[in-house]
This record gives sequence, C-alpha cells and structure tokens, in this order.
Amino acid sequence: MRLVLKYIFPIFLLLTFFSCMDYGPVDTENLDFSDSGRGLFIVNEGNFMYGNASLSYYDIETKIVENNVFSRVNGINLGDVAQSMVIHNGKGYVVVNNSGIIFIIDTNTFKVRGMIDGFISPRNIFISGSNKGYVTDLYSEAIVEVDLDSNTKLGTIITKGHPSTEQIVAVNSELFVCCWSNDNIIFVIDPSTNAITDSIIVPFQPNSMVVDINNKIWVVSSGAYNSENFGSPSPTLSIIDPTNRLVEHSIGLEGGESPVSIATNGARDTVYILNNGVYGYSVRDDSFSPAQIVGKSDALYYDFTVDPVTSEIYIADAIDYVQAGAVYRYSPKGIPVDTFRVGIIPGEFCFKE
Amino acid sequence: MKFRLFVILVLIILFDLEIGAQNIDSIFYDLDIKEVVIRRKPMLPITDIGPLKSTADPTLLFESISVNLGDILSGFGSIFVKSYGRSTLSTASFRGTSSYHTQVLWNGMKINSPMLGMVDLSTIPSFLIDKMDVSSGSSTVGVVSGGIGGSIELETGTEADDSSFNILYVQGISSYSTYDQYLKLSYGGDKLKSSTKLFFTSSKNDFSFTNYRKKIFLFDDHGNTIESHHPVEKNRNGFFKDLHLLQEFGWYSDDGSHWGASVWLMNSHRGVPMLNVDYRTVSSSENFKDETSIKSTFLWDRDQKRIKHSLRGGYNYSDLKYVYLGDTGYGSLKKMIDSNSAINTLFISGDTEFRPDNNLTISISVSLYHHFVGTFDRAQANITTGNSVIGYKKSRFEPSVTMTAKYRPTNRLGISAIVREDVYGKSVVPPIPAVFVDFLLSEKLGIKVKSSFARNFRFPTLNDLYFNPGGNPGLKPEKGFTYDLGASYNIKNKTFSLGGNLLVFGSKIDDWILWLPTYKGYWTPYNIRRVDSRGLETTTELILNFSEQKALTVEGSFAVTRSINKGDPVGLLDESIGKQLVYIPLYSSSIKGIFDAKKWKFVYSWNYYSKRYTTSNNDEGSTLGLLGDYFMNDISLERDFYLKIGSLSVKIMVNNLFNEEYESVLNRPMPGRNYGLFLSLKPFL
Repeated sequence: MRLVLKYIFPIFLLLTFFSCMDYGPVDTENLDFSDSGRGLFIVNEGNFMYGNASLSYYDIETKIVENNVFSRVNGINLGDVAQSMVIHNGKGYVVVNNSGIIFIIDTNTFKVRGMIDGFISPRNIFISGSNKGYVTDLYSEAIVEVDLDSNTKLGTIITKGHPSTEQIVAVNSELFVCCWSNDNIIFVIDPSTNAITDSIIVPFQPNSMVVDINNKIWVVSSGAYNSENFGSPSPTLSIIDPTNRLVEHSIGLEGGESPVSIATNGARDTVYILNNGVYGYSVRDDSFSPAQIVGKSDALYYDFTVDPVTSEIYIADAIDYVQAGAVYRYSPKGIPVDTFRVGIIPGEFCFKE
Repeated sequence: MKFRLFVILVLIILFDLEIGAQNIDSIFYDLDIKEVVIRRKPMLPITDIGPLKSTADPTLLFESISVNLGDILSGFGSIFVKSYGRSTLSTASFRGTSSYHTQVLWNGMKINSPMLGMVDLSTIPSFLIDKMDVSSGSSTVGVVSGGIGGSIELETGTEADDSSFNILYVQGISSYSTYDQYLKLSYGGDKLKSSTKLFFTSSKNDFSFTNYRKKIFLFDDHGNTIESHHPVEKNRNGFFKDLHLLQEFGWYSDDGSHWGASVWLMNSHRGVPMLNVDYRTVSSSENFKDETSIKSTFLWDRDQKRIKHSLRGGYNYSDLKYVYLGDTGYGSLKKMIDSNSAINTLFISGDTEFRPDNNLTISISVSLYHHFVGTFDRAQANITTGNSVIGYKKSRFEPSVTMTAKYRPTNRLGISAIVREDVYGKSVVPPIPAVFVDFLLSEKLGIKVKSSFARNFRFPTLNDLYFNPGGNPGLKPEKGFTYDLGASYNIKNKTFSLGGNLLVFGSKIDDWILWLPTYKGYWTPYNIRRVDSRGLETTTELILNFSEQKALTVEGSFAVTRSINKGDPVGLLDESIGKQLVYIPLYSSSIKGIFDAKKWKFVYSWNYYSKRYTTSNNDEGSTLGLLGDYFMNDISLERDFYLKIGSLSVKIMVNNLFNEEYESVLNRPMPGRNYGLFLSLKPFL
C-alpha cells in the first residue's frame, strides 16, 4: 500500500491539477482604419461545417493587411461559410451562408452594428434604393426582402421550384436574379411590386453577372457536372440584352475544372473573366477576343475582383482549401504588385471607398 | 477550483480509509517470494509469434452501458478518436492515419461501408461486444484488406461453458433525459446455446453551454453597442434513439465442431447537432440521419490436433438516410437534401490452419466480398426530367487470399511471414507482404522483442470512384509501407503483476486520397498526398492484489505520433509541407485506476490529447486554427448487493468531473459535468 501512496496516488492527484482546458471567451482588441485611405475586404469562406470563416482587411495605400478582424474586434466567430459582402452607407453587410445570418459592421472599426437573421442559406445581399435589401438563398425557394433601417425582414419573393437564387444585378429599374445550383434560369423582378415579371434561360449553373457600359448583362455559367443531365460541362459566357430578354451571344470557355467568375472595371467598358487566369473582353470588340492579362499558374485561383478606381486586379488563391489563402494584386496590365496572406478559402472581395 | 479540491479530498479520504484497514499480511513488500527453479529451457509460445493484437479487457467493454466503442478505444495508445459528441459521428484513426485506414470486422466480416470506407463507432454499443482485438500497422495485414492504419476485430457469440439460463437487465438514467436499457437472455444447454441482447437508448441530448462563439448585442439608435454577452444555449438537434437486437445461437458437437449464427438488427434515428455558430432555429432548419441495418454471420469451426478449419459467411444490409429540411420561404419545411443509400454485402471466407509440428504453423485464408451499392438524392432532381442527378448504382467483387507461416527455429526465436493478394473488381493489387520477427529475451521477466514490416494498400471506396457528381474513376489505390520495433514485458507473482510494452513505429502512405471542393459546388477526390507517420507508443498495466477481495489496477498509455504531410506543394505559397496532419494530436495519453474492494469498485479515468490543428499549415494564430489540449476526468463508483432474488449492482458515474467547457471538434460544443445512475439486476433462476 505504501507503493500506492508514494507513487500511484500522487499521479492521480497531479492529473486533477493538470487537467484544465484552455477554452472560453476570446480577448478583443480595437482596430480603427478611419484615417486610412481606400481598403479592400476579403471574405474568407472557411471550410463547410468548420465554422472558421473570417474577414480580412487590406489597406490599398499602405499594403497593410489585417486578418480575422471580425473575430479579433468582436470576440466571436464570423460563422460557417462567409459568402459575400457589400457596403452601404458606411456599413458592411457580411452574409454568412451556413450560419443563416447577415452581420452589419462598421467598415472602419469592424465592430458589429447590427444583425439580420431568419434566413435558411443566404448567399448575397443586393441593396436597392436607400433602405431595402434583397437576399438570395441556396435552399429557400424565396428571395427575402429586408428593411435596412430596422434590420428586419419585410417579405419574400417566391421562386417556387428554383431554390438556388444567387446574384442580383439591376438594369433599367429591373432586377435580374440568376439561379445557380442545378439550375439555368435568370428571373426578372420588378422591385416596385416585388413581382417576377419574366425569365431568361441561360447555360447551366449561372454563377455571376455584371452589367457593362451598354447596359448589357454578362453572365458566366460554371457548366454541368454531369454531361448526361445538362450537356456541356464547360463554362460559358453569355451576353444578354435585358430589354428584349434575348441571349445575344453565347461563348464557350475552355476548362471546366477551374473556378470561373466575372467582373468589370470602374468604367464598365472592359469585362474580365477568371478562368485559371484573367482575361479581359472589351465591350466594343464584337469579335469577343479576350486579352490575357494574368496567365495560368499552379495557384488555385478561386475568385477575383477588379478595382473600380485603378483597374488593378486582385486574385484569391485558396491553395489547398485547408490553410490560410493568399491574394495576388496585379496592375491593370497584369504586372505583380503585391501578395498577401488572408484567411481560409478567400472567396469574395468588397472595396471600401 | 473548489470542486477540484473537494474531489482531491474525497480521493485522499478513500485511500486513507483503505490504508487504515490494511492487514499486515497483505502488504506486498514484506512478502517472502519463494525461489523458483527453472527446469526447462525458455520457450517462445508459437501463438505469440507474428501479428500483435491487443485484446480489450472484457470488463472494460462491459463497464458502462452509456459508452460506445469510440469511448473504449480512446484509451488505446496511439489511437485518436474524433468524436462530435454522444451518438454523433465517432471515428478512430491509428498512428496518425485517417479513419478510412481503420478496418472494423464483426465476427470475421468487414463492416466498413464500401461506400464511405469507414465505420461510425458511435453506432456500436460496447455492451453488445464480447471480445475486441485491436491490431496496428503490419499486424493488420493478416487480418483484413485495406487496414493501412489498423483494424478492430469485434466478436460476439455464445459461450461454450455457459450451461444455465441467465437474465441480466441494466437500466441507465443519465443527464439530458438520456435513458439506456439493456436486456440479455442467455441459455446454455448441453450442445445448444443461445444469447439474446436487446439494447435501447434515447436522449434529448440538449445540454446547456455558454456559447463563446456568439454574442447577444444590445445597440443604441446609432448602432453602437451598449452591452454584449455570450448567450447560454442548449445543444440543438442532438437527439437520438437507437435500438439494437442481437440474437445468437451456438452448437457445440462432440466431435469438436462449433456452429454459430448471429443476427444483429439496428435502427437509429438521430439529429445532426447544429454548430455553435449557427443562428438558424430548429423550426426553420432540421437535419436528421436514419439508419437501419441487418448484419448476420454464420460460423463453423473444428479444431483437431494438427489442423483447424473454419468457415464464415455473412450478409450485411444497411439503409442510410440523411435529410435536411429547410423553410421554403412560404411557410413550410421542404426536403432540401434527401440522401438515400442502400448497401448490400455478401461475404464468405474459409480458413485452414495446419500445425505439422510444434515449431511450425501454416495457414491459408480465402475471403470473398460482393458489395452492391445504390445511392441517390431525391431532393436534387433534374429540372427537366425530374430524375435524381446525384448518386450512383454500382457493385464490386472483392476476393482476397492470405497465406501465413509461423516458424520457431529456436526456442527463443520466432519468424512469421504473411502474403496477401487482394482484388477489387477488375483491379489487382500487387502482393502484400508482411514479415515479423520475435525474440524471447527473458522468460522470467517476460521480455519479448518484436519487429515487423509490411506493405499495404487501400483501394478507393465506391464513393471515391463513382459518386455523381465528383467521383474520380481514375484514382489509384493508396500505398503504404509500415514498420515497427518494440518490446513487451510481463512480471507476475501472487500479489503483483506488471506488464506493458514500448514500441516505435513508422509508416509512409503514398497517393493518399483527399476530397477537395470544386467551384461547381461539389467535391472530388484526388491522389494528392504523401504522408510520413512516425512515433512511439507505450502501455503499462500494474495490478496490486492486496487480498483476495482487494485489488488496485492502474492502466496507462502514452503515444507520440508525428504524422507529416510529405507531399508536393500544391502551389508556391503552400505551407502545409512538413506539417502535422489536421486533427492528429502529437501526444496522447490515458490513465485509468480501478480500485476493487469487496463489493465496491471505484474507477478514475483520465484522457489527454495535445493540441490539434484544423489547418494544414498548422496555423496557431487564432482560435479558428487550433483546438487546445484536451484533458478529461471521469469517475464512477459501483456497489454490488446480493439479494434473495438475485444480485443487484448500483453504479454512479460522473463524466467531465471538473465541468470543463470545451470543443473536441471545431465549433462543436460538448457537455459539461454530467451524471449517470445505472442499475444492473441479475435474478437467480
């Protein structure tokens, strides 16, 4: 028994003391970019069901990057799969898809200024007028209308049979909503009545849209994942005339395995496509011959954006999807300017003017 | 801290009382150990040559009705059990490999899903299992195909020496409205034996926790925060209801033949708990998982003087359903995901072991599996045809032949070799060799030195190859090379037993299959990674018998597992090369103390995992990339009563003794201190 007392019992006593787990509230800190110039928010999706989404902020002038700013300032997680962000009246609206919430933050201090909940799987928020937002959804067969003064839901626009509403653009006082996952339709909505007034069929899985200087809608479709079901697995670029709802041009893109996305410059006279490299289309060129601006690389180009002021190009690299991603900054002619690390799966950008 | 001190005080009192009650005769250090004269040459038993298996103590399997196999395995050296909480996914990975590299067998039949490649250990209550053998590394080659990490062999059946009718009923009542019921009826005739086990468990599993990942904000009219605090929330959608029925028959004939048949029915209805960063309500979004399975095996074996034959067969049917219900936006819930899978597996195997003399054993084993898998999502239909666009229907035939030889050229030396040949559909895996060398260093101290090396392969699962969308028919099998070197010891006398082992191991896995997301919204697998895993593991068991009815058992394990990504960088900025794999702890340890005193039994168990990374570049910069050190303390106290009608056992269990707040998987909250009361009644018949 002495052996027990001398050796074994102390072990168990020690175990009780060395048994504290380090878990609890996260320390917060204050950040303030009120005095700095233009900035770029990078929305890092994080891994699905990991809840490790984050927000990075890049000072365009000083090239200083601050990562995980939402969590550092507010002491809570951003959530599971941060999808998109827009800025309106000095407030940032960050849509967190698999947490079913939109955080409203101060774009200088990153502090939470409000929240809008009650969504199923929100993807993007489109702000119409001074105080109204439309929120698209991956699973719900409805677009949710929200009041940005009270941060509450106003109503819904039912899209029965089409659960995956994705992006919204506005042309001539009408809203055009593309339905992405396993779908091929663009709805036309009258925002004054919230009624669906028309629809346009496009190539499979339209995922992003822009409006050029001629008010034509450029759409990229990521393509099918099963050719038996929907034809070509290759991505497609479509140009739509919103007035007569016709697809004027449909251009097949190379590839099919890489992310495809679309953006314009500030003047909206050049449309850029990300397709394992960045290609620019002049809207004045009827031959639709793109100029290669950034070439292919080993990097996993996940998304991109074009600075509306400088036309510089920012490309997100998800690397292996399970480590901090990176952003490459290029001049308008494709010359590297900067590279910086951000969060896991950088998937969206939002400029702060 | 007050509670911690209270526990320490109770421990001191418990041990102090025991010291006061000690009889001088029972103090082992005064024992006069007689000299033993060794009259024969030391002999390495031929059964100890070759693959090394750790057999779980049967009392451990039957220790608590509320634990599953994952809980039991967390005390085994370098096995890491990743658990999302009770009755949610629980998987085991050996020596820094993945859970897909762990093969699980029940009565000789592999029960890993041919679709997913793994087994959810939370669906196997330890109470149902009579015997569990665990093999790691090279030792797995002789057991099953594809066990690059390790294998877990589960056995149930009737007992040959059971010659009476017995009833055992166990009732458990635990925190969070958790109820466990177990009934065992066993009959033992001269030749025919029968065993019936019924297990039912249900729980709301709605424990409370402070959610440090969320805040409730109070804003003024300008949107400035006036006040904020972390809410106390309940675990949402964590309910479960599991039913198991296991019926077994055995027939023991006079000629040494043994026949056995087992049927295991399982029905499970479980919620999928929500993340602590989910702001949706259960009324607008619900996930659940249903599973119904029927597993059956038959067995015949006959052990004669020089030869042993056995024949096994089985059928495994599993019906899996995962449903995600979400608000449509117009006032009703609709199935957004309605994933259905049906798996049918036929199995047969035959083994013959031949022992021409006492120094040589040769065996050959042939096994045949045929899997039929159909999986589809009813909620994801083609917008034109209405047909499901997600899923596939495939079958695969998997024959395998294994030859094993064990040879003892000298009394102290044993050599064993295994050659395995596996076929998957039309693909033939190169021959898989394994070699083992054993040497008895000291019979007195029971010191044996063991070493082994082996190649191994794991063929892609049917989902890896054919899942639509994303399946990659061009995948290659994962290739593994593994080695280990170690020693075991065992010293015993009447009052004292000390045993254990120390082992270093290593393995290299090439073409590791990893699923990665694609931009079109689905995931696809690639042969992308090369992993080098090295480490050390040691286990110790000390038993002190103070008297016939008083004993202290202390079991401990410690492992260091360095599992490193040695693949090629996927880009210029890839920082994952040379880093520890995600969710693999570098250090793990467990200690268990069991004090038996007459009718009382006190158990203290402690488990430890070092920090685990959740990013491939081992980012320690924020809480998003790291789970901190895990320490867990559980205790139980049990008292046996012998009544006129039978024996009654009352047990009280306290889990998470120090009420730790923690996550064992990122953003999955775990319960604080929780309690269980268990009554076990065995009537005299």
